[in-house]
Amino acid sequence: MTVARTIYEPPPRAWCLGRIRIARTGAADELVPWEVSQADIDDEAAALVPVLQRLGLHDTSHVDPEVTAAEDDVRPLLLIVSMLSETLHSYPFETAAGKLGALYSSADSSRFDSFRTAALIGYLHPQVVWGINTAVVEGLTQEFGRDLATVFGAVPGAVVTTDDGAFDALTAAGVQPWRSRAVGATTMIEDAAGSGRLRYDPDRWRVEVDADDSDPDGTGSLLLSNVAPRLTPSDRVPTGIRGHVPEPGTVVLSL
Amino acid sequence: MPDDQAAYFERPHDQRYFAPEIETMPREQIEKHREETLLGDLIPWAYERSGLIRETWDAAKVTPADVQSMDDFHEKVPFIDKDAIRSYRDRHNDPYGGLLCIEPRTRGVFSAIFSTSGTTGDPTPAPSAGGGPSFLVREFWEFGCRPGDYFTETLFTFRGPGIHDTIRAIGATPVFVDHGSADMPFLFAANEKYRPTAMYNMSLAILMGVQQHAPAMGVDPEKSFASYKGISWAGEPIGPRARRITDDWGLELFQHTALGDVGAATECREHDGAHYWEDTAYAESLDPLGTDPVADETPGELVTSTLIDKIAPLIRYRSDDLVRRTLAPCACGRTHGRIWTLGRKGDEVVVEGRSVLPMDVWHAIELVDETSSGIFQIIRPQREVDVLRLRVGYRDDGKKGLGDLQERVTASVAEALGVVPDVELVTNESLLKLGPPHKIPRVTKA
Repeated sequence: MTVARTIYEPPPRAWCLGRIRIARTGAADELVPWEVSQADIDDEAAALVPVLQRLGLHDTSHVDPEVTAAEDDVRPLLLIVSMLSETLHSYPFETAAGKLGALYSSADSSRFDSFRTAALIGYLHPQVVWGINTAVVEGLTQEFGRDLATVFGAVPGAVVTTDDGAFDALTAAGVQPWRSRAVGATTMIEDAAGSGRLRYDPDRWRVEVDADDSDPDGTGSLLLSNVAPRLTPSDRVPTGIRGHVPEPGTVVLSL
Repeated sequence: MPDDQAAYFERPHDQRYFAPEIETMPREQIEKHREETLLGDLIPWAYERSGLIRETWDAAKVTPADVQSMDDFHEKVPFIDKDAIRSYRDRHNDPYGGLLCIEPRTRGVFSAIFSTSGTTGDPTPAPSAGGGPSFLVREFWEFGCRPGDYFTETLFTFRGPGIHDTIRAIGATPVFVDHGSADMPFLFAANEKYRPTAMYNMSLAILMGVQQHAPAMGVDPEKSFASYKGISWAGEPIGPRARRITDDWGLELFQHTALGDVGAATECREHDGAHYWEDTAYAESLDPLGTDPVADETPGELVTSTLIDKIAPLIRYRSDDLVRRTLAPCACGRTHGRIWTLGRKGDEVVVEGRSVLPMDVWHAIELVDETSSGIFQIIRPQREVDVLRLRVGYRDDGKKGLGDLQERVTASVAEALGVVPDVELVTNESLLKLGPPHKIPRVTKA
């Protein structure tokens, strides 16, 4: 006999209620609840596919899914290090990995859970690690006595950091990390390790310098607006990031 | 959500069960389904593919052909446990402990590899098909959450997106909140604006976070959580003090616990034991020191077999969990089994001939104001000890200092147990960081 199949309720309009960080000059950062739809997630994932390839995640989506790979074949894996509160930004990475035929694994980006990042790198040999922050590097070095070069040195592709503390610590350890930033409701990643140039898709997002908060050289606070449709519109959202926009699609960070 | 779940059904919102035809299935159907699934499918599948199952069964000189009935199953099928999985892992350099029935490199099956909590610092990777709703839709519906509602989720990322999809499968929107004190301001703000009706999960860490932040932010927890109709409590059993506090806040908590690593068990609104779903798992309750079944409602060790996991199936897994189990129908009308968690077999210490589990000392520690958070460990170098050694966390050292506090904690435990403990005091923070955030190891060797 078989048990009756469960039929589910129609999905809600919003895929989730996440949050984005808004920062206005002279004011404290603010975490703003932010709803995204399934279509938003899918579109962000589509934009991340070429980004992940640039970071070193191989595309194996062309491999016949019915074929069991040979013993020496290694299915590429992306390790995503984030907190649940960052799901709005991290979940598109999970979807994008799948579009490339890759696996993904997850660890919390907290001091306590940093042991998991090290353990999963050791067990699963990810090609790319995204989401390393200060809490993780401090947890690894101070709580668990781990050497950053040893932990991250074995990653063949990019090790991507999400804040300056982690970037500086990994650089000092001899790892060549990349920078990633949550910019409003999207994620931007450097075009090369340590370049300071974040890339985004100008067909999806528009970034501009806030004229009311800029320097004579053209750098200033960056504002984000959506070009592609989004469940929650972004209309010149203050991102708390300073830099300039030399051309649509590129942000040069003020470092 | 996977395509094969594209057919939806809008239930009457006052319907108590999410899947009545499953939740109230007659017992004979439950047993027939179990026998067919376990004997006809899971066992031959696992024996052919799982290195650990094959090795264990071969050592016991048993094959699937020898198991033609549930009586055969009970009589012949050998047990596995966490030590066996670790041993296989170490002997074969296999991070999956010999459980995997499909290689992770096989395309079209896996999308992700999640991991166990790894409180020892050694998480076990767990390949997964990825998202999709779980059977917890039944519990989430029972909590009172309905389509169009918001549902607060506080899980960890290493568990994967299954809970997100489960929340959406009842038509609700997940609200993501980190499991710890730091994210409580966002939780309060979300509570006020979106009025969520359910939460998965609250624990001591969140309770303490609410206590820490609410007064400073001028938040009244009772008002902040007034929209919640049901909240699961997980990580470890709720202590008496935490129960009093959450009662004061007007929360209806549903105890939620693991079912021997093959599923979960959760209270219904009757709060008379935690339901586990017998269409997904088979749970035996056996003599903790032997192999005989114990009578219904009698303390026993939970031994579980999956009925649904063909990726890394556990069959006759001795969980080390001590439970009371009943197969009697619940007053809610559900027909599946229920358990009450008593503790872990490996947590028991015997001192002066008396058996002591963490739950036995919990209340005595909570009675002392400075240690009222109930954060403590039993130091257990072996099962039988001459002295009950406790490491107890304190919030502050009190008006008369640590020496006085130590005397009061000692006296409280001695009065409760009739055994005078050796108490070591440490700060709450130093124990909490032993995490993971929703629980601390209640027993430690040193």
